[in-house]
Amino acid sequence: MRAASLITAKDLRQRLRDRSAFLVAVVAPLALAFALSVTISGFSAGSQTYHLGLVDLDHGRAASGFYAAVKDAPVILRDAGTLARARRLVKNGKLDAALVLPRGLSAASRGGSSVRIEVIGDPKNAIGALVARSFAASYASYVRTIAVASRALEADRVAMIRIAGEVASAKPPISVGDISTTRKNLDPKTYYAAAMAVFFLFFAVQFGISSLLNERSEGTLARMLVAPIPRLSILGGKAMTSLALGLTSMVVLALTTRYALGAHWGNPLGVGALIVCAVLAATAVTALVTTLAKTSEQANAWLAIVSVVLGMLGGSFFPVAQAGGLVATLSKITPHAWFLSGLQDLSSGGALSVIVEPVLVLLAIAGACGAMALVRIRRLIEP
Amino acid sequence: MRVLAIVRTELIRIFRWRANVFFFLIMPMGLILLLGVVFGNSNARVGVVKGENGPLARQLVEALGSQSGLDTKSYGSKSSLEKAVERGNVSAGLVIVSNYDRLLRAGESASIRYFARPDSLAPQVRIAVEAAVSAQGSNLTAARVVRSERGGTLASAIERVSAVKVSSPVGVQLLAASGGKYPRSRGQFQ
Repeated sequence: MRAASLITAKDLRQRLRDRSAFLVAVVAPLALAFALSVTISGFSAGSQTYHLGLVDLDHGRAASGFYAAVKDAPVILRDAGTLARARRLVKNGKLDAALVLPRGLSAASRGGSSVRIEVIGDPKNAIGALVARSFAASYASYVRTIAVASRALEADRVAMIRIAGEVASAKPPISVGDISTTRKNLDPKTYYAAAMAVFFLFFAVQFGISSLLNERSEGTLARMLVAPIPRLSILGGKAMTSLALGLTSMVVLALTTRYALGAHWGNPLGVGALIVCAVLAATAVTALVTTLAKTSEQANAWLAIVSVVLGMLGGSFFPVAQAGGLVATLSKITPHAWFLSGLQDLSSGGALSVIVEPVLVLLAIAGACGAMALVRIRRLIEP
Repeated sequence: MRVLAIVRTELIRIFRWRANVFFFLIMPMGLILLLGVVFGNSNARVGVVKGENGPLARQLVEALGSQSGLDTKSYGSKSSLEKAVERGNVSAGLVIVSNYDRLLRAGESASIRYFARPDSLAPQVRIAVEAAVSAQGSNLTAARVVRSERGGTLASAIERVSAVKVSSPVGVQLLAASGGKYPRSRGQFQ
């Protein structure tokens, strides 16, 4: 144990002296977290009021139905005047979409000839077009219901007015009941603080295990091997260097971003558990990649590639889980995704039990990669 | 020519080191692809738990998915859907009760649970859900009106309404602001 501690102390002194660890483990992630959090204000389109225009060529009662329909919705409906003006306003982005009520629309609900509501939308504002089209579709369903009921009752035009009133006041057979949920995603400041911390963690821990290859090429590993030091102590010393650098980096970043950037990491106990597990996983992945390389240059290159790929897939640059599909599935193989997912669960103030799954997965990654690395690492510490 | 020879030598030297191929070519392309996948789609996403997965429930989900500006994603359970809504992976979630088809076929009312996060597009998506729901409930509403007018059982009213063949008096067409056809989908990167 003493030998391992001496090796760790020597490595840490070396890293502190050349400042490389400080730059990679603290300065770079802090700078990037700051830059990304100030430039990216959010990841998803939040709720907003949509402005729709109405071109009333019908001049009947239909328009009032549309004004009534938007009353409880996050929509402002206003008269757009002419069709040309409505198109121009939609094109300029002054309106999210516009509805053109054709001549004879009101009459259509009383047995008049068929008409078509035109919805003018901008493909760049898909939600605006969706909202406007949905109002039009609801009105079309209402008129169809009147038509079906009237035909079934063989109603005349006068009776149709009464039927229209009954349809309007009928309780819908399918009700949509709202269940409000809480928000469990991190604000951009916290997200990028955590994402950059875990991204650079994979670079910070490289200074420990992968330095075995440097020691080998520089000849110092041979000296250690002939010295009365158990081989396990050499490995232990290198692993402890990785763990110490990883933990220090994460804790410093968590505290700095908490107080300097106002990031909300969540329950300190839960965050602590996630950090420890993420550091273990990163160290194990790094150890495994190191054992696959023949030289330190090769190891550094492979480790950089693995760190960047895992970071990209794991959501270190942007939340890939929102993309869904294959990307979201692939992100689940990365420790980054599980670390961030654990923080997301903690962010809503949930109990510590919410991080059981991410903690177990991170430990499983650490265990699996660590075991494979241990089997292969003997090759590195043979004289 | 010397300049070109130097450029060629340097390029060969750079790309001989395989890691540079990754950092110069693969990584930027990968990032662009990922950005496109994550932010390239401006459609709202709705998670759906279909329940019994009967034809009416399927029809409703298909009606939602066919709308321009809306994508649906199936979830196996209510809890996984709720988690996806909470994390913002989908804008809203729809849980169709397991006996949805049976209730509607029997002329009874059915309910849909709608998971909504206040700071998302859920209120806008709800308008689209209500439109799809009102289209599906059209015949049943008509049957209820027929029963209230004529009396009798709801079953006979449903039968009467089902026998009616009527084309929708009001159609809806989505057009681009230029007056041309509205494209099926268009991402923010286009």
